[in-house]
This record gives sequence, C-alpha cells and structure tokens, in this order.
Amino acid sequence: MPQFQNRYGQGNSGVFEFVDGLGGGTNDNITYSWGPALDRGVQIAQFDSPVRLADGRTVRGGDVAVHGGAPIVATPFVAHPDNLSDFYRTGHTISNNLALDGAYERGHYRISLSDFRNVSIIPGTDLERQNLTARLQFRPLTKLEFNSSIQYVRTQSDNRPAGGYGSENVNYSLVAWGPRSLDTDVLRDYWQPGLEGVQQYSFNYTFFDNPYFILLENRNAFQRDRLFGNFSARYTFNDQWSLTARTGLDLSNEDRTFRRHFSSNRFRNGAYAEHDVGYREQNTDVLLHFRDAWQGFELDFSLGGNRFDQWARSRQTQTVALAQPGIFSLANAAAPIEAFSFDGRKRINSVFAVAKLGIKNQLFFELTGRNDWSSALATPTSADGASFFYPSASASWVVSNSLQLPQSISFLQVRANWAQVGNDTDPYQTSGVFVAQTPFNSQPTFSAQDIIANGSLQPEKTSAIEVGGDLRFWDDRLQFDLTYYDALSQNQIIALPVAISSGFNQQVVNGSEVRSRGLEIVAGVRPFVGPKFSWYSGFNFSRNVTTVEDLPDEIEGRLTLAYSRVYDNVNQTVWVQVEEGGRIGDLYGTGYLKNENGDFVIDADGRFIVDNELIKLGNYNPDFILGWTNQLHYRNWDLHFLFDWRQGGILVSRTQALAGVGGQLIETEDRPAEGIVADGVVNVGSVENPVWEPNTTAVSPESYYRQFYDRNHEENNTYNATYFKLRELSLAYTFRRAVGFFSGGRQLRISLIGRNLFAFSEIPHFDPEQLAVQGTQFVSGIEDMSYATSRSVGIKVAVQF
Amino acid sequence: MFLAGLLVLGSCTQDFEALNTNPNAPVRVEAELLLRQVIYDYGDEMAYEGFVAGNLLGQYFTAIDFNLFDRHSLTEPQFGGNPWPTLYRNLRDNEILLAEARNNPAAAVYEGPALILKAYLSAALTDMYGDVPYREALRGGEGLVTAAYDSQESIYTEPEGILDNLEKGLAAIAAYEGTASLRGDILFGGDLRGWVRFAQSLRIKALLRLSDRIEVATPLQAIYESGDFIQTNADNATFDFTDRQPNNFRMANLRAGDFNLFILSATTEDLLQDLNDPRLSTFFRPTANDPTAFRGLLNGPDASQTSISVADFSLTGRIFREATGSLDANFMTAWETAFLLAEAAERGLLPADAQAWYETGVELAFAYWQTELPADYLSTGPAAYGANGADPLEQILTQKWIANLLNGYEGWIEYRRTGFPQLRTVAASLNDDRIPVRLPYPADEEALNNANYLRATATNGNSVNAPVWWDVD
Repeated sequence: MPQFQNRYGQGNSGVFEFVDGLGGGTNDNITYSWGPALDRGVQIAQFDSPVRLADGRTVRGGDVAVHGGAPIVATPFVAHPDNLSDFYRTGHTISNNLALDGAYERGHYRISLSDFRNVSIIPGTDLERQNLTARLQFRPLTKLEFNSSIQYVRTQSDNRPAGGYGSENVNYSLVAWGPRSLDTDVLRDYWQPGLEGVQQYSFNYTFFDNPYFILLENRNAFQRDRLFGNFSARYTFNDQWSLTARTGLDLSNEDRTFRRHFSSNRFRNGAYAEHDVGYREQNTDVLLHFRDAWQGFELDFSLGGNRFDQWARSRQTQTVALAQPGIFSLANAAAPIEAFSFDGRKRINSVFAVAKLGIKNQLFFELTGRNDWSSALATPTSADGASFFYPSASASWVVSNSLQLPQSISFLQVRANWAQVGNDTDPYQTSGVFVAQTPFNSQPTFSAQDIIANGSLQPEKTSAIEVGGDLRFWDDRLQFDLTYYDALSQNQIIALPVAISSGFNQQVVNGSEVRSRGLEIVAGVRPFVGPKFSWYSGFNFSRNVTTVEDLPDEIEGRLTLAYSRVYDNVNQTVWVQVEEGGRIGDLYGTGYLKNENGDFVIDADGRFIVDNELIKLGNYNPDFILGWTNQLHYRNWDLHFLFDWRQGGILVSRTQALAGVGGQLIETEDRPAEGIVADGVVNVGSVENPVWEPNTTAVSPESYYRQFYDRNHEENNTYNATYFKLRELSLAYTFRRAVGFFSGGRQLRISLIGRNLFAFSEIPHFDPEQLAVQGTQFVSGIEDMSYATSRSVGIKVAVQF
Repeated sequence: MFLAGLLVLGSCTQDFEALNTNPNAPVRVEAELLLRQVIYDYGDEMAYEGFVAGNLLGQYFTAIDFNLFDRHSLTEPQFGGNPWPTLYRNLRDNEILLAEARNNPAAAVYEGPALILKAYLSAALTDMYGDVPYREALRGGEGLVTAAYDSQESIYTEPEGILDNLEKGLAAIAAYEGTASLRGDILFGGDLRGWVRFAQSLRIKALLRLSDRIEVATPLQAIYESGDFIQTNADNATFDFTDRQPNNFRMANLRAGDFNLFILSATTEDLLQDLNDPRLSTFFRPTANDPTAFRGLLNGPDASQTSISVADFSLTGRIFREATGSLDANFMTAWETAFLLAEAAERGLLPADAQAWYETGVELAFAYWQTELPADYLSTGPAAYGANGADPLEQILTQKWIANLLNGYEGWIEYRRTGFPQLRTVAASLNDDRIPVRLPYPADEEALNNANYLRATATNGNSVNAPVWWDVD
C-alpha cells in the first residue's frame, strides 16, 4: 500500500477551488496534490461540498450536471490519510473439497469435487471456480487395461480489475491522481442524482473515473469452461512386451464481456464488447514398450509415434457507443459494430524412441531420440523445412550401492545428462499478409502487416548439460541435492525490431544464441525425528544467469526483447534490451544528465537537464533466491513456516513516477517555502573544460518533484527489488483417538493459516513481486500501477474417513 | 499393430502447406483497398498530429500541461509529435500499390495517383526531418532493413525524387488509355483530372519551397499558364471527417482532460485580434468565465509553476470535438495554391497579379473554414493588401498561416522557410529560447539503424536547430 503525504491537498502552486471538475475552477482540470496545506482550518469549495438548489434540495459540488454551476459552499480542506486503505475491503476465500476413492475387483476409481469462491479486497471483483475430476481404471481382461481421466473446470468472475496505466485501472484515479484531500467514502454514491445510469459523480471529469463506478459498473466479466482428459488402452502381451494407445483432449471456451457505462471518460456514450476465445488441443500417441531383466541388468525400451493438433480461435465483436444507456447488447449499438477474428492451427507429428538400462541398481543409462515435423515451420508452398531431430543421453551412478562409504553417508548418487530439445514457433510466421484497418465510410481498407515474415525458418535448438548429486548423511537426517546446468539455445526464433524506415517494424529471424547457467541446491536437515516431536528444516537455493552469446548480424548494438510503456509513448518506455555478452533482463531507460563523477548536472535555473541517451538501469533478475521452510511436529500439533529471500534485481515503478509527479507520495511531503536546491553540480567553467561547483539555485518544491519523478525518465523511479518475506505460517491440530469416531484411519485436522504476514523491502509503496503487461506479453521488472497485495489469515478443516 | 499405428499418422508433413497458410487475412489485396488506406490513414493521422503537435510548433495552440514538446523538448512529446512511423507505413503501402499498378495491367490506372502520393508523402517527410532514408527505404521485404539516408536535395531534385515523381505521375495519367475506373479515391471520387490539378499544385508548392536553392521561375510559369491547378474549394484535395465514429476527428473521442490541455496561444490571439478576424471564433471558444472574451496564453509554460483556471482561457473550437463533420483532412487546397502564387508573384518569380491571388486566397480560406468574410476585411481592414504600409509578403504568409491551422506541421514549416508570421520565444523554453527548425529523428532510428543514422551528419547530431537544405537564412 503506497505511503502518502497528508499535508497538502488537491491543486497546483498552492491554490485550488472546485467548480466543475472540468477545469472551470482553479486547478480543477487535473488532480495533483500541490494545492493548499491541509487541516489548517481553510474552507474551500470541493466536489463533496454542498450546493443548495433553487428547489430547496441540496446536492454535491460534483453533481455538476444537476446544479449546472450553482455556487458551491466551501467546506473544510482536510486530509483523508486512509482514503485508499478504506477503499479496500476485507476479502475472503472459501474453498471446499470432497474426494472419494475406492477399488473394486477389476479396477479403481477416484472422484473429486472442489469449489473455490473468492471475494477480493478490491470492491466489486470476485472469482469462482468449480472443479470435477474423475479417474477410472478398468481391467476387462488380465492383459487389457483401460484408463481414463476427465476433468471439468468452470471458472467465472463478474468482474476482474484492470491493470496498467490509464483510467480503466482504479489506481490511476486513487493513487497516481487521487488527491490527499479526497474523501473516497463520498464516492460510493457514484451517480449524480436523477441521472442514474447516465452520468457518474466524481471528483474530476476530465481524466479520471470514480473508482467505485469503474469497479461496480464498468465490468469485465468472464466465464470459462475447460474440459480435459485422456483415454488410454494398454495391452500386455507378456512380461516383456506391451502396447499402449492414448488420446488426450483439452478443450476450453471462454466468453468475456466488457461493459462501459455512459459518462466513462474514455467511452462517453458507453461501449460493449463480447469476446469469445476457444482452444482445442488433441494429442494422440501409440507406444510399444519392452522391458526385461536378467542378472542384475534391467532394460527398458519404447518406440512411439505422436500427433499433436492445436486449434485456437478468437472472435470479438464490439461497439464503441450505445444507443440506450445501461443496455449491454450489440443490438443496442449506436456506432458500427466492429468485428475481429482469428483462427490458428498447428500440427506436430513425431516419432520417438527411449532406451533405459539399469545395472545392478547402481548404474543407470538412458538414451532418447525424437523427430518432430511441425506445420509452423512450413510455408504455404513447401514443407521442406518442417523436420527436426533431437537426442538426449543421461547417466547416473548410485555410489552408495557400489562402494563401501563411511557409515555416516547413507546415500550418494551422482548424475549427468546431455539433452537437446527442438522447438518450433507460432503458426503463420512464414508468410506475410494484409491486415484490415478502419473502414472509411463503411468501405474497407487494408494495410500490409508490419512484420517481415520468414519463409526459411529453422527450428530452435537447445542443448543442455546438467550435472548433479544427491548426498545424504546419518540415515537421511541431513541431505543435499545439487544441480548445475548449462544450456545453450541456438537459432532462437525472434521477432527482431527493425527501423520503420525499412517499411516494417519487426522481422522474424532465426537469431540469437543464449546461454543459461544455473545452480540449484536443496538442503534438508532433521534435527529431531521422534514420533512425538520432529522438526524438518529445508533450504532451497537457486541462482540463474542467462547471457546472450551471439546476436543476428542485422543487429547493431542492442536487441530489444520487450518493453513496457505508458500508453503508446515511445519516450515513456522501459526497454528490455540485451547486447552481445550481456545478461537477459537488463532494463534500459533514460535519466537526467550526470557528469563524469556521477553527480547530477544542474542548469542555471536550478533544474535537472534531460539526457535522452538510453542508460542501463539494472537487471531485473535476482542474484539468488533462497527459500527456508520449517515443519515442526509435536504430538497432535503441526507448525509450518516458510521464509523467502530474494536478493538483488531492480524494479522500475510507475506508481512512484506518477504519484510522485502527482504530489501524492510521502517523498513529496517536504515542501519548504524557500524552495528546494537540487543535489547536483553546476558547470562554472566551459563546455570543454568544465569546473563543477555545487548547485545553489532553488526551485519550487512542486517544480522540483515533478521534474525529479517525471515519467519520461525512469532512472529516478528505480528500486532494488530485494525482499525477505514470511510467506506462510500455519498451525494445525489433528484429532486422532484410539477409540470413538476419530479412531482407525479417521481424523479431523484444523489449521490456522497465514500468508504474506510480513515483508522487509526498501520499497515503501507496494509488494516487490511485480509483473507488468504490455499487449499480451508479461514484462518483468516493472511495477505498473499495482494493486495492494493482501495479508491473509484462514482456517482449514480437513476430515478424512 | 504398431506399424498400423504409424501408418495412421500418415505422411509426416501431409497438408502442412495448407495448415500454415494464414486463413485470417489475404496475401494480396485489390489496389482500391490500398489507395483508400493510404489516403484515409495519412489524412486521419496528420490531422491529429496537426492538432496535438503541429499546432504547438506553429503556435496556434498552447499546451498547459504534459507539455515538454510545447517547451521545445521535441524528444519528449506527450501526444503525437513523431509522424515518422505514420509516413513510412503509408509510403510502404503506397509502394505496394505502385508496384501493383506497374505489374498488373488491370491496375494501371493507379500508377499516376500512386506516384503523386509518393511525392506528397516524401515531401512531408523531408520537410520535417531533412535528410531521411529514401532510395533504400521500404525494402525490408527484400531483406534490406537498414536504409541509408539521402540528402534532401537529392530527394527533391534527382531522378525518382519528388519533382520527378510528380512529373512522372502526370505523364502516367496522360498516357493512361484504359477504361478501368480509379476506385478507393476518397480525395476526388476517381476523377483523374482532380489528380492532375493536385499534382500541379504540389509542383508549385515544391518549387516555392526550393526557391532559395534552385531556379523556379521557368517551371512555375509553365504550370501557371496551363491553368491546370487547384483553383476552387470544390477541387481541393481533402476528405471529410464525420460526426460519429469511426471516421470522426480523433480529438472527438479523447477524454475531456486531453482536449482541455490545448488552449488558444497568445501568438494566435494577438494576430487574429489585430486582424479582427472572425475565424478566431471558428477555431476557439470564448472563455467559460466570460462568453464575450477570447484569451490565450504564451506557448511553453512551465506547468509546475503555472496555476491557471481553464475557464479563464479559450479552449479549441467545436469543429474539433462536437462537430467534426465540418472538418476536412487537408492534403492540398485552392487557397494554399493561391497564396503560393501570390508569394511567387510578389517575389518576382512569376508574372502574375499578387494582390489578386492574395485576395482570392483569403476568400477561399474563409470559405474553407466556413466563416463569413467580413465585408471590409480585404478593403479597409488591416488585412487589406499593403494596408498601413504592411509588407505584402508578410500578409500573404500570415493569411496562409492562419488557414494552415490543423494542416499537419505546415504553419511551422512555412515559418521556417519565410520567417512569417513572427513566432514568439516560448515561456519556459527547453531549447535555449530558440524555435526548432526540424523534428528530431525518432529514438528507434538511432537504436535500430545506427550506422546509417550516424552517417546522417547534416543534422549536427540530430539537433532540432540544424536547418534543412531548403531552409536558407
């Protein structure tokens, strides 16, 4: 939750008066908190101050469409320090689970049913999920076995909150632009009287929508049905040979609807969209299996063929204006109905073989080979490049089964493997098309796609070496599992950004070579293992560094892998870029000019100087992640806690940039009348021979902070993402008795579970675990007007009988 | 049984060609669809660019917040301010259209218009940025993704350049003997004579623009004597926006706050008030606090040190928001041509009646902006030709500047060429109190076309203060 300043309220340059929230008052066009000091007994007309109408009614200042500009009676200008925390509510989640299983003469079954209902801390948002699973096994003959598994999941929500920067996200109007004098409680009544369904009531009508109006009226609902499962038949010829045929299906359909009411800032006449997303995947394989064992040797061999088919489908129809307010149907459209559709199709055929050999339970070898043919690598005229082969080999040695080791070592295994994996791409990357654009007077227009297709795409190939060991001491009371890996991905298929002066902005190429190295260590210790008291403490350490070893020849300098920007503004963009030899995850942005000593260079007016050169802000990846889990058991009590430590990495914050410029954050609380002298140096020498002296020129606090946090320059809005968290703490009590109901296998377990109970981080305003969304892509290392995360406390009851 | 299983899988790549053929979009389209796209997209984008950025550089509007661009830090626009991608996208689609016209006899009628549009778009590009990728540009499909920069001089004057393409376009139209009609032409409804007049007006414009660099009198006179240029508003190269989506002017759809950021500039307020020019109330609204008053603000205020009530200033007019059906996307007009001829005559480049063309230009411009011309405007008012010792050249260019509001960046471009009307030093300049004389190349060029970008040295390190070739002081 952001930490706010609460000394100054809405306005600019220390003055404010609300007249219509459209710029008609003093500084009421935008909702900065650079206004008058709060809680000083000053009376100012505000959006919630009363207006007396001629007919004797009293309405609010913001009921502009009702009072039509009648004078607003000034009211005390006071701080509302809890206006954001009061906006959030206590959420709750109820989850129920029921499972039945059993066996009969010719098979067994398991059926489970679960129901999950979440009411979010964000008003007006929820999530529900029901899950039904059935697993059946049936053996009509001793040599013939059928297995099937089917799962149905229904997920739905009446409203999911919007993310990112802009007026669809309530954090835009509550955090970035929610002035500290704003009483959010008043906003609960979000229609202007007599104009219900037509005109919202808000503290501003230029940019910002009432957050309750956004969440309770402008809803984004969805309903998703997913059915997946498989059916297999296995015939066992004899002890050595068997044949399995299996087919699996994954079918989902999601209906999304988007409702926008009249008077929304971006949709003044409302809007409505229906979006159906369908997906179907079918996977069929046939596998011939052989196994045999003799004199301590075990051989296991399989030969198989597979066909994978994928269909993706999207249909969106929408209108950006409604005829009648509040009726969300395409039949109520007041603007032409726009339709967008996409169908995607892909098939991969494969043959593969796996051979495993075990020697005296000490040495184990495995060899695999697989050939895939992917339609995504074919062009509309040729399928020549569609085939690719990839093998793997691995070996492990259980040393403790072969050699006499010191008694303290209870288990030792070392392992090594080498594997290649081939990969195709999304369909339709091998030929270019024309894309429909906005029709003019209902007549169609088409433009060439901006991406240069590639008719000779090669498959991607990753070759990985992994070595590891499992070492345990004293009857496994102390154990270590180490893995080191080094994977090289070649021929990566990337959409390379190219200069639009080429006529295109992306080019599909087989390009970069990326190496990923990492170390994972899992360690466990059991200081106590008694039946009454036991304690297990486990550590999970991981570190990964991914570097780019080679870039396509076309690239001069850095390759842009992704970006995150405010709206579509090129200058308000954080770039995920990499150069040859550089580490994946490097973020680039701009800052203000610094001299060779790293001091800010200040101009004669006391201001920072824009430097448009992209600089490396840091890397979003952590240096390492360490998890520490503990399980203590004492008689019927179980205590579990989990700490997470993430070291290093950076996070670029939009909340800080926007709410900093807006004057909302605690960092902007200090506003001395004499102004602020920026910490930096001025050049009193010449351009060629600079002489640096400390800056002494003050600028107004508003001017200082607005420049310092300006969203065009990310350097000042970058945090270290290190954190230490108590992620989970639970305490459980289990009822078990020798006699009575809770005897035998029956038991009742009651747990108290807390999640996200506390965190240490240098970031005062939000949870350091963040992801931004750009288009359909997730971008790490960016905080983009995030919602508060919640601390949760729950009770779980489990009965087993 | 296992072998049978493999056979079921069939040939490993059977139907793959069909499977990976995109069913969602065509691999080639009718010429008509591209022509309509280029005209509509460019017209729509440039009118928006004109409003949010061109009108700031031309000092028609002042932006009161999020206005680093208005303070002349041109690399930090909040809205628009970077027409480069729009120009190259449309040049690309136009190039595909041109190739289709040349390769497919059934589409030959499109060759002339495509050449004229190519010249038009290329001029817009180089007039704003100076040297730009031209001859190697738009060839990404052939694998050339880093295009070298060409000098503005060669883009305008050498073969396959702007002047050459205008003449070739005219020749293609003259030589066309087919009967196929030009479809998708939302400027002239398929009338090839309209394209001839459009091309000739563009030649006049290009020649004037280069008049400090090359000899223009002879070709100007030839065009003038043909009489075949845009002379009436009915012949204008424009299309109409609508009142409702999706073809209304984009400012109509933005939030009130975005619209409210743009107010009357002090430059325009003073110029139009001094001329008693009623177009002030076409372009702007009276202040909310005083319905009889128009009030502007000097460009480039430091928003963090300015405290204003929008109600004290003039917002932009209804024609840009509530009534965009009355607004045109402007490619070339009769009044622009008339003012060009008046200037040429006044400067002795053309034997013609400067005053007559000036007055024709003013009348056409008032009609274009749907504002009644006051009876005394050209006779006894301050806009009368040479009134009170006024410099006729300044009057011609001032009148053109007024009419050029919303015409992309034209008001600012002509100021750079002629110095008229006198624009002002902005309130809180981020460019050393200088008015920029070119747009900076976008950051994408520096990042993605670096070697060529670094060789484009005429801009003095991408400076906004480096004049383009035709800009001779």
